[in-house]
Amino acid sequence: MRRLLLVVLVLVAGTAVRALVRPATFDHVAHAGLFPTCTSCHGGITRPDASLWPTASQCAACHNGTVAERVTWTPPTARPASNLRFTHETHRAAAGDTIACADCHTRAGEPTEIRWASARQCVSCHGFAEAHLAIPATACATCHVRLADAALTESQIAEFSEPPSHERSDFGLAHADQVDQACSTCHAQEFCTTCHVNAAAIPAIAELGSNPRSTELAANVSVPPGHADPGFVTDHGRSGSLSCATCHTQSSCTDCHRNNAPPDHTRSFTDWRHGPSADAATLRCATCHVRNDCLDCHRPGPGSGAYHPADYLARHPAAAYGRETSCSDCHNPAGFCASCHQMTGLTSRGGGVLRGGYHEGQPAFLVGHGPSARRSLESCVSCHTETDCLTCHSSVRGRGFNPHGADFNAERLRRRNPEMCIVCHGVAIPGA
Amino acid sequence: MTPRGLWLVLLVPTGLVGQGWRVDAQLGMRSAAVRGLQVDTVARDALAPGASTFTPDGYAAFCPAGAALCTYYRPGPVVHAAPLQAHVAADLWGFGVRGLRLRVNARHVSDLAEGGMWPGTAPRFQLVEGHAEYAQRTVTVRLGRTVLSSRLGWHGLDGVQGEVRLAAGRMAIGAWGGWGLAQAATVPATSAAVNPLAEYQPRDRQLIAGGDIAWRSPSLQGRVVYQREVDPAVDYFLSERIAADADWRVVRGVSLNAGAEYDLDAAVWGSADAALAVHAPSGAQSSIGVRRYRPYFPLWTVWGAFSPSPYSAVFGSLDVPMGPDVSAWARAERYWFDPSDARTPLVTTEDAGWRWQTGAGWQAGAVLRLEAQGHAAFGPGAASMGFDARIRAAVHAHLDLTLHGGRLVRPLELRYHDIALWQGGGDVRWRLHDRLTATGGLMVVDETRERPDAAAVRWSHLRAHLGIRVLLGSGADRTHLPPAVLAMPESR
Repeated sequence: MRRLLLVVLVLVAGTAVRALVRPATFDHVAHAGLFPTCTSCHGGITRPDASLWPTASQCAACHNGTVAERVTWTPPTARPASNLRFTHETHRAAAGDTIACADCHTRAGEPTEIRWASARQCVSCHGFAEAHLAIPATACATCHVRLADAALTESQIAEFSEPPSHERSDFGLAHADQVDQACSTCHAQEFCTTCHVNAAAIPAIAELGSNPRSTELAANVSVPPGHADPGFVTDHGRSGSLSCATCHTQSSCTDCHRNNAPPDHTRSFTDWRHGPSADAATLRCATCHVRNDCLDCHRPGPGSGAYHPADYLARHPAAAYGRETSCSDCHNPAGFCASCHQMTGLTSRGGGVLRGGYHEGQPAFLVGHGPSARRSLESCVSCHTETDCLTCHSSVRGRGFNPHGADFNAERLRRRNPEMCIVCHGVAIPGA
Repeated sequence: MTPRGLWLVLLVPTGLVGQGWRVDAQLGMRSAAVRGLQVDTVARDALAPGASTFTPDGYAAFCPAGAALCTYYRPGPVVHAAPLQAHVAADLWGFGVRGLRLRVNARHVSDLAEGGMWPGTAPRFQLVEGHAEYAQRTVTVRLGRTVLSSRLGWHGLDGVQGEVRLAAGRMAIGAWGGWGLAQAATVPATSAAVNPLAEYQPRDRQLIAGGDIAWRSPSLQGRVVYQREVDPAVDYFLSERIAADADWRVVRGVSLNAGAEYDLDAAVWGSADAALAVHAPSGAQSSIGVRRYRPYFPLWTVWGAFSPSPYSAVFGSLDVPMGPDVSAWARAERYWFDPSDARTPLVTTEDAGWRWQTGAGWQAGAVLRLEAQGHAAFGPGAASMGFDARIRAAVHAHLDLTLHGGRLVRPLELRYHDIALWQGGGDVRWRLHDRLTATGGLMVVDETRERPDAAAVRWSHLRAHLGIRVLLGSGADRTHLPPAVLAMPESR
């Protein structure tokens, strides 16, 4: 008796569970005789302006409580969200009569058991031998639009299956060479930015397009194996590669290096001598820095105030004259230096008026200015014009004082650009 | 309209909307004042009796032999400047061609004060960079205005620049060509903005072309650059130079950096340097090196024909952590000029000079940081000595306050006695939002011109600056580590 009761309970429970989990579906078999064509109810298949589903009144024509029991049916107001390029209209237009509804919506040998079309059927018809997720990535766009262009819900995206190519243990760290447009089928920029801090600088990511819901997929990353090397902590600056910027920003450097500078990024390095290293190791700098980092300080012309100290306006005469660094790397000597000196009365406008003054506090400075001029010519030209100097140093218009030093290679420079020679010598260039 | 929408309307013309964009916008204003010189003349006969080199009102005057008029300089008027600079660096991408982006780095500069003293404010709109960039993993091509940076300096270019990366990014070969801009400027050399003194000016823009090879390995990195500029009107060279740099890690903790440039026009070596740096495991670093500095002038000026003298120098630096919160640094350089071949017995000049700087910093807890440093320089035509100190307080996670002060003594313009200057003030940096930072500051400058004549003056003035910086983007521009990276336990 107990056994019988147990069997009955199992049967009842199983039936109940089956009834609960089984979706309420339309019984196409029972209605096959009433509706010989699919488009009788699914007019939207052939007419874009029509609904894909029958209306409630169509059902109520029979299910009115008299002819047949009443049913509750509310057709969806919109077509189901999808990332498929597929529409019945375009498929029908392209395939014509070579394809019938049953080809996709029934199982072989069971023509009346209607079901959703499966990806397997799409893949099969389109000539792929592989399983859906294993077909070449270049073929994704055959059926799918970019995730950025798809109106999928969060839950739909979260249920994306992982293709076999992603199952490799090193895929998270080594997928860079495989990135192409096919990625955009399942991923958008926002998904990439959960790992790639430099996503904006990677063209392949930028091309994926945007879809905030793409972060419903969880990125699976692991620590690069090289980070476990014993010497990594002390040596990672040297061995750094362009890929560091994938995960790390400047702030991830400064978080650790705030009080304990990287081996070569000491105070002296950052304030004083990073230029030669930057010139030599541009590829290494690019590990952490982007183009705009340099332009923040080193943009030509009026600066951002970030490079020089606060009192530099007062300090610059001595610094410029001493030539600790080359001012003209960032400042045009005429447009920047001379223009300001002109406004403050420090320039000569040429024309033979030298405006003699107490240079060096020595009244005879003009007579003996040669050494100072040769040593600080860049400073001289921030106040004086060529005409000032040619008043004496031109052999045509001046007094013929030779300004050339011992290492002056007149013949070579004449071959390179005789126009410079003509300024002082006229057309009668010596040796020409 | 939201700020993001406003920027889009301002920056993106209709029909040019990309899928992604990023904008770094800065707006800043400064207020400063300078007081220069005012040249004047006085009749020799009018010089004060008994003091033949002083004017009646007490200014030192210079009387050329035989001239009836003597020249003297009186303190000039106080000239105010209020530069206002709006700077935008913007990137747009996603135009349907993978790897294509538009990049604009431009500014609008003006001086709101009467007189417009602030340098570099003409023209008002300045395009630093503006190009289309096509970048793939191994190739980058830029078309438009770009800036070239190398040992040869910064050069603007309107043309094309390309780079090919080989051997998994360990080697890069680049080339560029087009019409050049004026040296370290955003305008062509033909622009009046780079010719304030009405000098000789070229009629045509120069053609610029060059190339470089850079390589990278764990122990050796380097770059060789070649660049030439040609005057298209006459087909003559304006410059032709080559430069090389290398950075060699000799052993762990020891590196050697060296580089040099060569002027193919004059067939002379230009500036060069070599430095050996040692990094101790404790974090200390020392370096010693030699360098040579030779000024460079292109061939469309005559200045190169005046044979500017180079100098040679030895230098060293030391950075020492003195405990977990205290660090100190020092650096010094001694230099000697080559013989100028222009010596006269009438004027004595220095042949050598030196400069040093030393300082220390103390991180007092998480909030305060104190720094102080002194500096001095002495050499041919140049001298200065001073010190400055600052206290920075991170009073809030998003708010930094800094108080600073210092003193400086240096020669006056024309090197006639000294100028002594005290300065003090404060700055504030307030991060209002992840993408929005405001800055401001005030500084009082008290200046005393220590001359033995009537031009000795003392005057004070106030300097101020205000700024705001906004970082906007379409989602991919992050300023912090993303969640997936933070989940990596030991990767930072």
